[in-house]
Amino acid sequence: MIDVVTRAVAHAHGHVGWLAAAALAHPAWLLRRPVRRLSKVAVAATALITLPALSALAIYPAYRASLKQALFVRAAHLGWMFERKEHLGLGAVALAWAGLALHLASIRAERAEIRLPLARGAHACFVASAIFTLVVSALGSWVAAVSPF
Amino acid sequence: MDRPSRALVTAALTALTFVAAYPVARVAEHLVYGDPNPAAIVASGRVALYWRAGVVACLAVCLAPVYFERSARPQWILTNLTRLVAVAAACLALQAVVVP
Repeated sequence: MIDVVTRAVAHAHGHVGWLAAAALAHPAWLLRRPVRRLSKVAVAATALITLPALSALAIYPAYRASLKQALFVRAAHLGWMFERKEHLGLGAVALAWAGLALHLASIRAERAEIRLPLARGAHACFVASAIFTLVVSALGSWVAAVSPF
Repeated sequence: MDRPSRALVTAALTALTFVAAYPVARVAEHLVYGDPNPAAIVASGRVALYWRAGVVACLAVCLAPVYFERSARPQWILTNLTRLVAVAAACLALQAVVVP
């Protein structure tokens, strides 16, 4: 049995996940020009993708105890889809943090031969993170629609 | 490059190593054990996201400083940063397609 708080956190987790996908699109688009300095945007987008990751950590024990096995028994392909979502979610968070670190390092760099590769790397990280977050949000919504928390 | 910048790049490389190594760990697990019966999936404890992530994160934290902070050619890593991001993202995407 899942309590009201866990259910509320699970719902918030899904909504903030979609918000994070939208937020990550900003640095993914704006940092295509390596000269731009967008530390606030990058920090906000990374914070927004970290929030659902933290809430996922909070609700994972309840999911595992109350829902996971039932989900696999009911429809194994949905269970495996949820596993995929978890893997891609971890990757999306790690890539966002990598992008933030590289962007901050590029802002600090004085020489162009160091600044440009760092900025391009940050852009690539945010693009990959935004794509993975979009896929994760879509998979999460699909599974939640079929088998709600 | 000053010390804080090197630390930031090392942190980014740690995260990228994690993204590249995690799918490899998952595929290795799949090849060694296969996938469990769905009915026994929780009891078996085999789909253990925390364990995989923890081990790979430790590996990444240990490896990234070695190949960047102590590298004789850190500029090579910087020049190929975008390629490294692409490889890490491709590893994860490929794993998600091939192995759940």
